[in-house]
Amino acid sequence: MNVFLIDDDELSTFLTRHWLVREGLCEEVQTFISAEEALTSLEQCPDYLLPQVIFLDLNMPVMSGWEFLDALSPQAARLKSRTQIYILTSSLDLNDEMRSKDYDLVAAFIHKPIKSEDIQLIRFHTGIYN
Amino acid sequence: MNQNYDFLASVCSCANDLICVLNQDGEFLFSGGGVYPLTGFLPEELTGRSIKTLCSASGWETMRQGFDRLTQGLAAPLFETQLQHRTGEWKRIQWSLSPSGEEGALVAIGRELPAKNIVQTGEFRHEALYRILVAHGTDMAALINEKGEYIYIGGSSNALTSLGYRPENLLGRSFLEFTHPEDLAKLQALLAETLAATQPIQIPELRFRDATGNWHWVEVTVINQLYNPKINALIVTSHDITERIQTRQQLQESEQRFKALFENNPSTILLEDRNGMVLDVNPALLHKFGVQKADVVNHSIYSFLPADLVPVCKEMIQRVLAGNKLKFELELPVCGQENRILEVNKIPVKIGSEIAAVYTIAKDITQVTTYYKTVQRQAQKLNTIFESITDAFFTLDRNWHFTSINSEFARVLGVDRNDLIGQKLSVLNLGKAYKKYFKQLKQAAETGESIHFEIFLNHKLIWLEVRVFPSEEGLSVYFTDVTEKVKARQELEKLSLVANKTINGVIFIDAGKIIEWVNEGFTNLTGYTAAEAIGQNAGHLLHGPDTDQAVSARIKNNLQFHKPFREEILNYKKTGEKLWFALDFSPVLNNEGKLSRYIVIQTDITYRKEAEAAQLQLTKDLYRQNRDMQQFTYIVSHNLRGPVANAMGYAQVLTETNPDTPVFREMLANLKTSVFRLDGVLKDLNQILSIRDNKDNIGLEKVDLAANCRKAVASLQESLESCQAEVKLDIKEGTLVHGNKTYLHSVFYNLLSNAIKYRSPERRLQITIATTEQGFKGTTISFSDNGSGFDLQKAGDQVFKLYKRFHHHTEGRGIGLFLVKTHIEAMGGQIEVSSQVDNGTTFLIQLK
Repeated sequence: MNVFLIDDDELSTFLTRHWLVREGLCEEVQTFISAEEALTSLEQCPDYLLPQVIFLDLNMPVMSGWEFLDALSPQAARLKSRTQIYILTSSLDLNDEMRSKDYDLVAAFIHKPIKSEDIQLIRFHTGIYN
Repeated sequence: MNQNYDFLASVCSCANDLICVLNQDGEFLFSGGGVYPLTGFLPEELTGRSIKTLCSASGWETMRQGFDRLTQGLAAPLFETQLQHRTGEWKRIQWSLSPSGEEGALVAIGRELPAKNIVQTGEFRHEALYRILVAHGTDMAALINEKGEYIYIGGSSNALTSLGYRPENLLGRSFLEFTHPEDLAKLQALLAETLAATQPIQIPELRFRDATGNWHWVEVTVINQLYNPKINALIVTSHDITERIQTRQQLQESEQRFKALFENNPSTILLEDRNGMVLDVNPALLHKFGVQKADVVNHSIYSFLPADLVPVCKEMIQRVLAGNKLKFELELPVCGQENRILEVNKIPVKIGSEIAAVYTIAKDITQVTTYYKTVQRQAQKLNTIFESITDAFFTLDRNWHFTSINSEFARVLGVDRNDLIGQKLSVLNLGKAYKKYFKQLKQAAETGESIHFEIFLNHKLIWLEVRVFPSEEGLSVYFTDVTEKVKARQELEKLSLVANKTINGVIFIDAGKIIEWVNEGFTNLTGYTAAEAIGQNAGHLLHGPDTDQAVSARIKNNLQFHKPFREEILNYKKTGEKLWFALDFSPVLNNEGKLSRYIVIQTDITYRKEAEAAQLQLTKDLYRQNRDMQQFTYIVSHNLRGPVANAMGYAQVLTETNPDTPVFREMLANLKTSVFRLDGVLKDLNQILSIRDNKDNIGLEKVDLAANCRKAVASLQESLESCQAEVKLDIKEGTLVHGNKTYLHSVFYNLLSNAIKYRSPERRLQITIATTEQGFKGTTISFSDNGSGFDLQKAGDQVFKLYKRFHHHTEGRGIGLFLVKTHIEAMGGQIEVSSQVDNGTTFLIQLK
């Protein structure tokens, strides 16, 4: 299973990666501390290599999570059937959660730190249980 | 003297006559002789008494005249008076007076006359008769000898007395002596003639001197009787003709006068007979018509008159001939000249009872008539002028009688002018105003100075403006009905009172905003007195630096339309204090609908504006606080929650990890980092909140810019050195800014930290801090680096926002620039930024 993690907070990515691996969702997580880099990577990525899951932080310098989602919209059609985007943020702001529903690509809104239940939900969504 | 009198007394004692010495007042100084038998008084009883008490008034007068003659050295004639005896009996006394030898005293000797006249002895009765006839006639008769000397005086004693003589005064003296020297030759010639003739010779008009020296005209008849032995003399009878001569002389004089009047009269005079034949004309007529006397006299008057005047003149003469005096005017054509107008008087001349002739006196009154006509024309003109005076007008004479009134006056007061002319002023009904009115007129008449006043006629409810001009003839008085004017003025006065007493400012301005008038309220509000404000441009006077130019322009524009409008504007008092006015502009139009001025009512709305400003500030504060709250929520939800979430995650994962593994230790370290970050965020929050809460309380002072800057550089010396940064300070020593040391340090510290954090990895860091003085704006600090910069367009307004970061791979939390801006603003300054990616960043800071 191919998973992208876009978050500039290294403490957070370390922890998230640890949980994902430990829960057995995937063996490797491709981490981006800049949304721009992730965007470039996705644009260059052939369809069959597209990640099934992207964890996206919102609060990042230079390009925020929202900006990333906006920048992704030209590829929405390509991504729609292959990729589920999960917003993984420390924000408790309800506005952010509401806003996320406007994006079709966003599958769910997850509050940090990621927990077993969140991973169960992702399994359910994706149908990946290995 | 007494001895003299004693002697006299002894002499007199034997005399029968009354002998006395009298002074000029008739007082007896001495008396003797027959005093007792004649008067009944003893001599001693009479001494000191006046003879006036004994005789009649006329008797005393005769005696006094005798005294006067003696005093003048003349002989006193004998005279006769009545004297009253003590018993009351009147006695006839003949007096002779002589000087006494003493000044002021005379001797009087009185002899009693028999009770009846003694008739002179005569030989014949017819002679006696003749004497009586002569004596009672008016002629004087006398006999003179050949030499002309009087030898007998007879005839009328009246005639002699009227000349003041007694016979003895004339006897023995020459007739010629009494004749006027001019008549002497004629008299002598006639006397010579008489001597040769037997016929009586009449000598007409001879002047004869009387006793007082006056001349009498006498008519003298001389009859030579020298040859008559019984008479042997010339008989001279004379008759006083003085009166006749005088009458004749008067007649001659009056004739002369008449002649002179006729000859020299400037009027033309003509004498004609009953048939119109000219008998005489005077020189004035000849001169006037340029003719000779011969051309006129003995010609018919009608031959000189124009044909059309003849019948008139004939009729006139008939009326004069009937005995009437006539006076009429006659217009006479004169060749080549204007017609002459003559005033003709015709006077009948009566001889006996018949009118024999007619005098015509004609006076040329052409000039007078012309003058009179001119006066009449002028009077007519004057009257026209009177009537054309649109003011009501009348004149009074000095006795307060109306002499003229024009029709306007009659109209205004509703009177008939014919009723008033010649009437007293008091007839005019002026109601209660009469007293005041009369007083004013009287004053004008007395002082001779024209006056001007207004009166209210309460019975007609009208105001009159009265102007009075005194003259020698009286007063000229003009009236104008000023009711409307006075009402308008009173209304204006009331309005003015209201305008003046209101607390609002009221000003009158013209269309060019020039102040014409201000009320007290204006002065109270703005501090400008009327004298300071009037004539000034209201805008220039009241506007100031913070006055909204747009409003000012709008007012200027609206003033063109002459419509009411309202504006609110910031004005300045004389003291420079700010003052908000609500202005209500009301145009005032004149009768022709043109703008005459604006009335502007100023309401002080400073309190309201201040309240509005306070409210606005409050709203702003609330808005900011609300925003801060949102920001705080954001901070809590993102920045605070981030480390918390991490800590929670690590805390959870640690419990499930074997402590003896390297992962456990890494996780533990991460947990620690998360907790420290959490603390960092809490510190940030605390700092931010404390800046905001202390914003109004921090002590601002003059801070040495260069010193503070060096201090901040020094505190980061280690970091700067480790990256080999070069810091260039270009701050003028002693530059002071308005600020706070701690804040200023924070500003430089954060900017230097940022410069170090975001330096370019490709080149050595260079930082330049320079200042420029901006006068009253303060000091501008320029802080530049040659670091990596950022995309300003992309960052937009987020640069100074809290927890905004523009770089990856740095430890920046996104609070530095937020703090810089917050601190600078707390010191009343401003900050701007400009940056180019990979080129560097420049901050411009403005401090006061």
